[in-house]
Amino acid sequence: MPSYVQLTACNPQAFIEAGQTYQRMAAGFGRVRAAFQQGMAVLDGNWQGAAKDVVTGRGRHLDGGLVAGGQEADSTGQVLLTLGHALVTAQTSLRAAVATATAADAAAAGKIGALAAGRLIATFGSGGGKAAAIAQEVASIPTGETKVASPGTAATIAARVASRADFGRLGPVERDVIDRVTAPTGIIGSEGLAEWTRRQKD
Amino acid sequence: MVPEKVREVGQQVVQISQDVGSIASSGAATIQLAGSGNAGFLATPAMAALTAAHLAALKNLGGQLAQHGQDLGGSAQTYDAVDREQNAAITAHVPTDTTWAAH
Repeated sequence: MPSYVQLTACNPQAFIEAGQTYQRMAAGFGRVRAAFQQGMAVLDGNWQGAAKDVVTGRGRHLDGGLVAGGQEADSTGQVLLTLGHALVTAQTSLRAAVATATAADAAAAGKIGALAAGRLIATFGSGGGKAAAIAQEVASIPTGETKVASPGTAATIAARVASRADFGRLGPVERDVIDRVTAPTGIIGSEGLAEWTRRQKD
Repeated sequence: MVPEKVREVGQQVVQISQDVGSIASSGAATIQLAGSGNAGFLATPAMAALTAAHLAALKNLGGQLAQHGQDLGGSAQTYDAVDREQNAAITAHVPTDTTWAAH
């Protein structure tokens, strides 16, 4: 499972690039399979007898392998892209939050940030199948209560990530902070967010 | 004609097996690059299973395709040999006309 340090230090772009490469691999499998099918068609049209039947049977089995290889490459590519994009979003939120945090709130930032990342990944991976399985594993953050020493700055931290955080995993202290910051007048409430954005520009 | 086609397809399948090998190598290199700074994520069992098992399956598939191509080459040779034997047998069974041999 990713730690706070891993979340901030990881390189999401590498996952995105790997995902793109895997999807190109899937396209490559499509071309390889087309060539294989052409070869099998040539045999089918030119060869008769028991020996041909054995070869054809084996060819079908291998064709299935090429199809599965292509689908797996595509699926892996999608998982890597999903993870990469989810981490970009989580990292951006986390960095913006930590930039305004005090040292005392670093632990809370880490916990909230990790929860937010977990929730983001789970959200992106909610389509089922392998992506969801990966997402669940990566997002498996232990439940715990974080002491928020200074609700003011912790609220700022939470503001950047709470909209996607997994509230079900938060302790009462975090929930209280988040309830306040998500209220209309809170920092990520409709009014509060506009105010926060305005102050950032100034 | 037939053995030649089978031989050609066999060579083509061997080439395809090499293409699959290249794709697997590309995937392995990609995962290695993605691991830079991200080893903790790649080390999760499901992610490792997705990437490592896939690459292992591709390697296996490449090996099977190579074998299939070689088998096709072998079939072409067998076909050639059987063809020659059958032609020889047919030739051997043609009765020799000796009616005028003594004359």
